[in-house]
Amino acid sequence: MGCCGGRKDSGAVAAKRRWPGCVLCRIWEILEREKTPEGDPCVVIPGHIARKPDPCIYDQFLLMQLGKPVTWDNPDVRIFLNGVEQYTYNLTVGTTYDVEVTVHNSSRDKPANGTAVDIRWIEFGAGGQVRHLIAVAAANVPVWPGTDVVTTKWTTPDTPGHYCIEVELSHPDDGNPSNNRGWNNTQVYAAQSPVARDVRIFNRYPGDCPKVEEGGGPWLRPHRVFLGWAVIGAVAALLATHAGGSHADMAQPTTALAVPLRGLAMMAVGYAAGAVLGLLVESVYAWIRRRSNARRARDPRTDRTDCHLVRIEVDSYRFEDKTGKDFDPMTAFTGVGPLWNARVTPSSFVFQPGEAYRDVLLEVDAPDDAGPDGHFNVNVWQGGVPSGGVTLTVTTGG
Amino acid sequence: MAGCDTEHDGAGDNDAAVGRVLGWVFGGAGAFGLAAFLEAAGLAGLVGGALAVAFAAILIAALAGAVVGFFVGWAVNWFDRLHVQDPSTITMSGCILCAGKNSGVPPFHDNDWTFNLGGSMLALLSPIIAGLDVQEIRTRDAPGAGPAETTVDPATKQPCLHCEIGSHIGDYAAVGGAAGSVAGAVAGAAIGAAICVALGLATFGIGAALCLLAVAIAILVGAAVGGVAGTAVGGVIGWIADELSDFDEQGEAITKGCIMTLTGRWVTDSSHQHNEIHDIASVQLIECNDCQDDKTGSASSGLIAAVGIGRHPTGRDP
Repeated sequence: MGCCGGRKDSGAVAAKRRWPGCVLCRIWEILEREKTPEGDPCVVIPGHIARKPDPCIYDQFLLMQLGKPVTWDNPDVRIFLNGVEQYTYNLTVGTTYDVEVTVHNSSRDKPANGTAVDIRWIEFGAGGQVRHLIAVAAANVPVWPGTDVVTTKWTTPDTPGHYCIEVELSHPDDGNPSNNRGWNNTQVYAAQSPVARDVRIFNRYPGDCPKVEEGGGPWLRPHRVFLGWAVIGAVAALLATHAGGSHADMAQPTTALAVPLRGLAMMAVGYAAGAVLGLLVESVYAWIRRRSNARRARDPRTDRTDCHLVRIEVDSYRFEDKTGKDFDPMTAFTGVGPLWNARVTPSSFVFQPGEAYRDVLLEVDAPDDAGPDGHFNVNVWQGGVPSGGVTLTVTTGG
Repeated sequence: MAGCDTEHDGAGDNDAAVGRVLGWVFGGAGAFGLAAFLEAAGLAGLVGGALAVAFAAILIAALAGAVVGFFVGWAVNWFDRLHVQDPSTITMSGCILCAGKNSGVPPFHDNDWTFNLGGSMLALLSPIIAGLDVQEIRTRDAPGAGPAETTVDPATKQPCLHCEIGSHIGDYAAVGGAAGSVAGAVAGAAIGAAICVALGLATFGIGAALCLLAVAIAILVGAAVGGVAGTAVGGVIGWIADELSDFDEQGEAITKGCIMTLTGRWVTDSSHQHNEIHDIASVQLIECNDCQDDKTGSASSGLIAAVGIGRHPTGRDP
């Protein structure tokens, strides 16, 4: 808008001063007012988007995505035998236990009624992918700080071993689906010096990496042709209908009906011609864009993490479970290095094609003297994202 | 009120939509101008003033075509600009660097709720898939679309992911504008022809040229009025739809500097050549604490983590 005096350069105020009578310019400015870097002082988000139930659990995968330390001794999962709390490391084969899951609701506005709680067991280790269903329960969780406790019976397998409990929540109107999966995966060893144990790392991607569907196209889209170009062609054909000769016929009553019919026929012809033209235009456009995108695709990201790359870390972080203002995130999520000298060998490796799992060696130089137990979290990432983990407790008889 | 914009910090055309719609404007102008030219070429006795009138009619027809092309092209591109990624639904957390509602008159304003999510605590929370990280979320071209380039928030210059809650106003106004423009053009053509009959214009020479001009002007006026009216009607219907969809809910007020978790559809917006979440399906307000100034992001990400596992360290306690 030249008459607005270069609004984009000098601003609306200057434009108003230069052209005080330019009403159209003012209207144009109001219509075309641009977005601002600052946005609005306050924005009200629709309630049906902002106020949803959010069932949640201590989710190690969420915390690891946020770069927080975790424990695999899940504070929201407990196992009882005849009312006495047990530890997952010390379960007896073929025995029926009570599994208790505490489900939270992060929403202050909406109860998470009808939350499905899937409880499964996984072979002990990190990144196990074969899940065995224990039960599907339902939880009715009131708004925060309310919780609901779900219990179920679980008969351990007849084969000796250690098992990881996985809990996964689902709700049809979940406001945050990223905090629904928690593991309880623990193991205890009596101290020897050093403690050396294998930890099994399962391959999340024993085959190829997840395929990345990227770029390509654009492809010819019918609606652009038949609802766009063809319609323009049909309307354009009206110009060839009414001018030059037809109006003289319209004055004749006997041919008055023929004129609209001719108009419709011309619009049909125009529609077909527009569709053909649109097909050509869109094909050429898509071809040009495809070539451009193909050039771009020849230079893909080179810093993508190999999905078979595994990284393992050990720490002695412990979670102090509190809620409300008693919970201080700065202290609760402060990482703690290994209590004693502890290492995993290897701490990083790449799975070979088809390799289902690999055992790595955890070595802890436990003190010979009696003392408090040592807790060691083995956290595993594969392909740059959390894969799982296990918490090992080394007892020293203290 | 004003929505939030973004800037590319490298390659990328933030105004790619302009070129996409201009193609339709020129295409419409060409189609209408060609139709008028063919009609004029078939008229007898076009010399002198009649030729000039016919030439003017062709220009007016081209202008009418540009108007129809604008409204139709706008609608076609409106529903063809967002290309869905795989996975389609993601959850991100971060700091709101800019929050705004793009309120105003369509088609200049789509009335969407717009946010720039960023800050040093910007994180992908789900899904957890190998190789899928924040950089991938910001730069992967959706199938059938691209390019998608990184953006920054214009005010803070921090890397961001643009996120929007779609308003019905933009959708309905686009459809209304296209339908109104086409209907208006058809009505204009009929009115133009009626004017020709009423004035008893001859079928050759200056009369035929004037008739062509009358039809072209009527189509232009009809297309413009119909397009604007259709856009307005569509906008009003969209506003009503927005109100109805949130009729019995109380909204959540947020500002710049709020920590939030957003879940929604991950798309490439070919109109701006960047990736974004559009539409946002759900939002969680964690806390408002001027997080845009949190250089490390550790305090903010701690809050996100705490609320994520239901421990809520801030706000009112029971």
